[in-house]
Amino acid sequence: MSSIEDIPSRPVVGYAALGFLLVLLVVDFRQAQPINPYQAPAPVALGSGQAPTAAHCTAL
Amino acid sequence: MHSGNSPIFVRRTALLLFSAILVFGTFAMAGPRSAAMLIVGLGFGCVLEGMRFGFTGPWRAIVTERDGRGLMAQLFAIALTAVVAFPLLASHPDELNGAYAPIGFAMLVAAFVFGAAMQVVMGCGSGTLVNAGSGNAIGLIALLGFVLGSFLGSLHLAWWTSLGALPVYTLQGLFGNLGGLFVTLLGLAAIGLIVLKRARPGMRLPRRGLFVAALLIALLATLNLVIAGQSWGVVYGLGLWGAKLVSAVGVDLSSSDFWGAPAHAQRLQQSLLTDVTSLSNIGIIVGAFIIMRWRSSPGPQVAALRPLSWLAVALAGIVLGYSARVAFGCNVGAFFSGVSTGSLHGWAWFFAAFAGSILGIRLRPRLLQTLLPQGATQ
Repeated sequence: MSSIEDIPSRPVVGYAALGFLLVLLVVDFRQAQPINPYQAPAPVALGSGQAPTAAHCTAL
Repeated sequence: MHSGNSPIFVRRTALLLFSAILVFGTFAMAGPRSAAMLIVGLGFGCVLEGMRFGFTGPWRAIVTERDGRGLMAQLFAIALTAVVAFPLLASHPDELNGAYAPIGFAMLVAAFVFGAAMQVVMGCGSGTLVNAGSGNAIGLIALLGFVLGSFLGSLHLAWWTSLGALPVYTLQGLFGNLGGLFVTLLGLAAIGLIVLKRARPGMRLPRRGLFVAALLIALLATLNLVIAGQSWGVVYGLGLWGAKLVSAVGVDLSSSDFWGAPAHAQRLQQSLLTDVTSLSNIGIIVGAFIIMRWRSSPGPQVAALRPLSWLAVALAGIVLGYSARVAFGCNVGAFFSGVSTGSLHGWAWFFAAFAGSILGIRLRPRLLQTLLPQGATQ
């Protein structure tokens, strides 16, 4: 049976969470299409005249 | 980054530098909107972790301790966001989207299950991100489960929704823009009155710091809408992370009803640095991490669990993710954003999830008796 001493400290687990993000971004970088900076959307959607293209949790 | 023995000012300087590198790196690689969304996410993470604004704890507190302060802060934040979001959505319908989804049989059941599961693991959509970033070991395991669960939920979403769903209803559509806002504020006020009646004296109105946190959350949620063109959400990004990871090991998702659809296939092919929900999620995790490391002491780790119990935590995370996907969002995308932008499904989600939450509060001690070693607390 484990004890509380067996669980890594908060900083260690926090670094592990950042490590997960790093792995995710590396995997994504290797398989995703390169970002085209000339097709970047306007800085702010409001007033851009562009329809939103991002997906949301409510998307079917 | 430096170890815990480093002088605190060195550590804090490193954290600021780390944040700046992340933001400028995102700006250089993906442009100003992506950098802005990362900043918004960092803001969410800092406020949620630093000012203790949450969803799961307050729902529990009003039921078990008759403490209504946290729930009142949530209602206040949603009302503030609605007051700004309704006119913006009305005046810029071609540029901004609310969090609109259909009410359905599966959606209601899934919201109920989500409410129960979030009380069992003491973490919701945003809470799981914050917990993981702040170094909570259960939170990190639950996050991995959440990613898998929301991905699996996306594979079955069309089937669940086919069991029966109403058309998408909005309060703006039913009552007009001004009427919809009035009904939304009236509904929030009605719940507020119930909370005030239920709460004990001294536990009714939030302390000043929590009011400020609610104000900041409303501001960030509005910025999310203005910058991204859509409301604050969590679950889609986590499902996308799962799809990305699964694709990386060779699974072809093109035949999936969900990921084969053009809009989602495009998101799958494009960089996460262009996905606004992923960026705000990353920001929340990093923001919570920064607050945890900013403090002079990171605080205690969660109580010990038996080895098999980590699997139970992961399973609970999978249930959270799956149910959130089928329910068209979690406490953020469905409740906060749905209600504040006039979606009727946001209200249905709230009532179903709160009922599930009451069940989860009762289930938790029974389940945790088998999870926690005798004498351990959480």
